[in-house]
Amino acid sequence: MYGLAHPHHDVLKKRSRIHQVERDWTTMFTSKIAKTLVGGLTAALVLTGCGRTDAKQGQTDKGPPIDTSRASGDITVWAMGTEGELLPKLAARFEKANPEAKVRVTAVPWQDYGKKVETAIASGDTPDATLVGTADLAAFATTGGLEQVPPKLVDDSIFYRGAVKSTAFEGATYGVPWYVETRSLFYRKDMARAAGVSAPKTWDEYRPFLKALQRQGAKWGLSLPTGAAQSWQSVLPFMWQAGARLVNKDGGKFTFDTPEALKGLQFYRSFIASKTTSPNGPMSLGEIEPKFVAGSTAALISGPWEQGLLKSAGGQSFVDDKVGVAPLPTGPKSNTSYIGGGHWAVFKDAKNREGAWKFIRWMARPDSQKAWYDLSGDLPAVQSAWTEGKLATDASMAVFRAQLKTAQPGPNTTTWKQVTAEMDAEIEKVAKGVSSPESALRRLQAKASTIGTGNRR
Amino acid sequence: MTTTTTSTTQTGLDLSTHRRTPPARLTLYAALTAGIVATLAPFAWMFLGSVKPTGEIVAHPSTWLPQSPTLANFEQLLSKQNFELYFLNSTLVALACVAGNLLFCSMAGYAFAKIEFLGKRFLFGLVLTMLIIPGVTTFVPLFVLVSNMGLSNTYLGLILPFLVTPLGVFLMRQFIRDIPDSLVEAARLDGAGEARIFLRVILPLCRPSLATLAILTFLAQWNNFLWPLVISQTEEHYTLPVALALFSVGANSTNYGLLLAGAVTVVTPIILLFLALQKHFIQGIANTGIK
Repeated sequence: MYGLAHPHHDVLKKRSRIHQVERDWTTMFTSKIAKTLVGGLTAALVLTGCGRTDAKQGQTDKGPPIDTSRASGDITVWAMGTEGELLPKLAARFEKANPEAKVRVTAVPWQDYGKKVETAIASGDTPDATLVGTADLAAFATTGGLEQVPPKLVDDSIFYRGAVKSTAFEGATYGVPWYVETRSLFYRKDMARAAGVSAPKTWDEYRPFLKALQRQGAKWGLSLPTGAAQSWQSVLPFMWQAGARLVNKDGGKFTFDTPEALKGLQFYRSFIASKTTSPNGPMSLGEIEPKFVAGSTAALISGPWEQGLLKSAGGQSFVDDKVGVAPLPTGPKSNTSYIGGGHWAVFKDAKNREGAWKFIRWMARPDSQKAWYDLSGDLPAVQSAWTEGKLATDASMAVFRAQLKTAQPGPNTTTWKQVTAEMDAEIEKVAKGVSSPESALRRLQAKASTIGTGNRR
Repeated sequence: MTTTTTSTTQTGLDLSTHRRTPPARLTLYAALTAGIVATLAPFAWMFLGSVKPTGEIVAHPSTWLPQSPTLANFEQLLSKQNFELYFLNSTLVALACVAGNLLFCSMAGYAFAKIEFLGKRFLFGLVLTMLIIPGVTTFVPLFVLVSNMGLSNTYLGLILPFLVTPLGVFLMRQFIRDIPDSLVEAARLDGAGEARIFLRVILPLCRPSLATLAILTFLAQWNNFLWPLVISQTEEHYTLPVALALFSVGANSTNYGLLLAGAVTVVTPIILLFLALQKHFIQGIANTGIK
């Protein structure tokens, strides 16, 4: 039904005697049918409206605490993408320690996984637990389909603070951090060496450093997104670095109209104005790596997965000899970066909630976290898992580790996704020089206030 | 189309019957060639890209021809667990939906076109309404419905909602309407019942539009992503598009080599199907709506 709509359109277009059909439609609409059509449409809309009445609203209750005995029974979980493909290997270890439990993993594509989770919640037809992208947890929690994390399941202080921050929503906790990622500065080490400069530590050193790389032959110094979806993830850190907070203390109101936020956006704009950054930034994944390999773009801001991408675009020797990773340069206030990653959540309609929480608790143990890093390369959310192996010795890992200590998630409100769409649009206007940072923020503030934070306070 | 002494069931693009001056013809061919190149270029890119290593696909500047051709993408794709199963699932679902649509849409189309019954106009109005309502608005209710029937994570759940489609009913009704009533009446006078008229008189005449419907349905189901994604609670019921998304699209990156190899695997059966049914398909499009 959904897929057919489009081919239908094509058929009509191609039809050589289209007027025949048009006459057909005209006669129909002048007849009684027009009325029944309207009636039917209304009825259908009312019917579809009914489908949502059983969607639950509001906060769920806290379940009873989870004891420390072994897990048992079938535990069904959803995990996305590569994580889903690899999780059975980690689960096998859990099953060894809990012989009466069986973890059944379904690998779900990242693409549109939110729709899958939401429809599952709406119907009550859910597995026990699911992996959730950190930015999506609040939206799922607000449907009332997720259970609160039982009291004393894990000690929050073992995780990176930014990761814990995105598990809490309206004062309750709905997820347990599993892996994290954050963004740092990737630059052409060889060009920096040739120019006799080292990675910038502050905002003041930022542009001179990039300009030096440009003098080594790079067309652009730094790649930044200029309006593509998720541009906000790259621009928000500039605001944080200038000291901005984007929601007020009680979480009830967005605050984009501050001098700090303006300073951040102006700094972003200054890269483009000084021709350090292309006004036509990358639009899709995989676009920037070949340019970085070719040397036409000398630096970019990205996460730990970037090393794998650069390896497939330029080879291992390129990564070893020519890629440097440095912490983001410090602004007036900090060098805060964005933190993303994955949390575990348990559905309210879970059949084996106890088993699911026990599995999640087990996955938050430092040795399980280390094992998962060895399997997948995902960075552990538990700080004490970083004490040995490549995590402890590798130079670029040390950069990410330091960056993770202060990295922050976006504001944890249900409406954040809507606000980011507006933000991406305003960023594009600023990047293309259509709008000044001041008026962009003014518009963004107005739109964000209309959307609201959705927090009931 | 002035001198169409040839059969009206021809494509309507029979150039040989047109008198054109050479320059006009030249322009026409130039335009057609440009159109064909523009249409085929992405396909060529897809086929060529599927045998390039990932580094070469994203290379900048890029080349058309693979510098170091490799089958690694296909090997990686086929080595994925259960790949054959996903292919089989896709085929099964698409074929079942095609069968259902051919049968039920033509039955409904016949009734709407040739049989007088109470509430016919109202019912047909409902069918048209279904055409207008965007699928996204009914998506969640439909899922809840199918899930309450206990059909989530079953083949039936994958197939049932698409066994009959409003577009198919509309298409068949338009086509059958153009079959002369006298044929139906003659059969009736000869003592044929409705079932016999439908099977022996109507269906054989509907071959072009049935071919069109078959292709449209197959295409829609073969490419359907969201419904199979949502209705399958375990991987055993994944179809190809879902599996491809799983393998190639990550949270922060896309494996383009694997994606292109997957696209080739997905598209090839459709191209074959289209080539096989091409003649009927073009006839079907040209004919629906002709009295």
